[in-house]
Amino acid sequence: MNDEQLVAAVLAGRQDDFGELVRRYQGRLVNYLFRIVHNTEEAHDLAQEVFFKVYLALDSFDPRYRFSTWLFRVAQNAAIDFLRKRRLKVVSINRLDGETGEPQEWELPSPDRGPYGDLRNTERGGAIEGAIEELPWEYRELILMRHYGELSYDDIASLKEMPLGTVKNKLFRGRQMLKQKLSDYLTD
Amino acid sequence: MATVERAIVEDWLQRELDGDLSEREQRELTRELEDSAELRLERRALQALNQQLALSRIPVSEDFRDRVMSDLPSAAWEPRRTGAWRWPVAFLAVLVAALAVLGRLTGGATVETGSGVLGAIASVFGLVRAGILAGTGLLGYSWKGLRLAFEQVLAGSPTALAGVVLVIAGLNLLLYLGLRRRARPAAARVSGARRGR
Repeated sequence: MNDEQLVAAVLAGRQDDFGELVRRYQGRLVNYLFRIVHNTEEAHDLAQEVFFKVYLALDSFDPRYRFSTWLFRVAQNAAIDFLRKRRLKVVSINRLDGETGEPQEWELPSPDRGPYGDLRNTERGGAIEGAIEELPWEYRELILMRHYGELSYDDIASLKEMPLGTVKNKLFRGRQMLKQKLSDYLTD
Repeated sequence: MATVERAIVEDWLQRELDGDLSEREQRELTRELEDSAELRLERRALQALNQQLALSRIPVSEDFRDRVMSDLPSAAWEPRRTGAWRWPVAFLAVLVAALAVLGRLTGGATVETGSGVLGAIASVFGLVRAGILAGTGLLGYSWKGLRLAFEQVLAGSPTALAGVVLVIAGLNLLLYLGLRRRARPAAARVSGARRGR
């Protein structure tokens, strides 16, 4: 069954079929969110919240569109809300600590060193993460959608409401930037 | 010797990573690659980048799916009744047919426009028309129209009157069934509890 058929089955009362949708998208969604929130546990929690929201709103899904596009749109909005809240929290803590009362720089918490941190502890993993972080957001978000969300060009164009050509140009430009930043690691 | 513009070949190299090339494009790219060491180097770098990005993916916790599923409301979505509209429509069809037969029996061999089913439909049409006129601001005319329409209905045969009532009731029933929302699953629980904290 394709995604849209699974959605129809869930709406027909077969709740277990939602588990299949979760199975199909959990890796892509968690990785996409992880690259935005930089914390494995928070990425998992956020992904869980996204699936929950999607389930509750399942009857508003328009089967003319792709489920993946809809799911990642919900995820993107959830991630933006999450970052906004976290920034407020970090700023308020900084201000409590500051003696001068001057506005402090909005620093996000550093990436966690949790049970999944081993991979990123390697020099190469750190370099990749740093290179992605340094990309301007307009390129970075497309890289994340394509390489971690595994969305097609069409899905990204639909999600970002951009012409297909613009999606390709930005994605290719983003890759070129990454390639330059990581040139030391790509010549093995 | 290279025969295709460099920008196009670079575009192919990128799209090749995404499996977006047609067979013809792939063939031409292969030919270009055979002719250019620089392109082969570029391709290797892009493939290495793609591989490194794939390797930097994190694993999903094993119980993630179970967590999501146990978090869902216990009541599943109410099954859609795809054929729900058929019964009201069938009911209306039978009703109209019955009224037509009745109108023919009570109205004799000739059916006048002002009686029977045709009369009922004409009366409903008159009511709707008058309502539209009221909506456009032509109050004087519409009130007159409404009065005339009601007079027409009341002056007609009992069958016409019954027909109007039944048609309006049927339309309301259809409207109700169409607008009725399916029951939503239970409301979200507290997010902290949802995350198992």
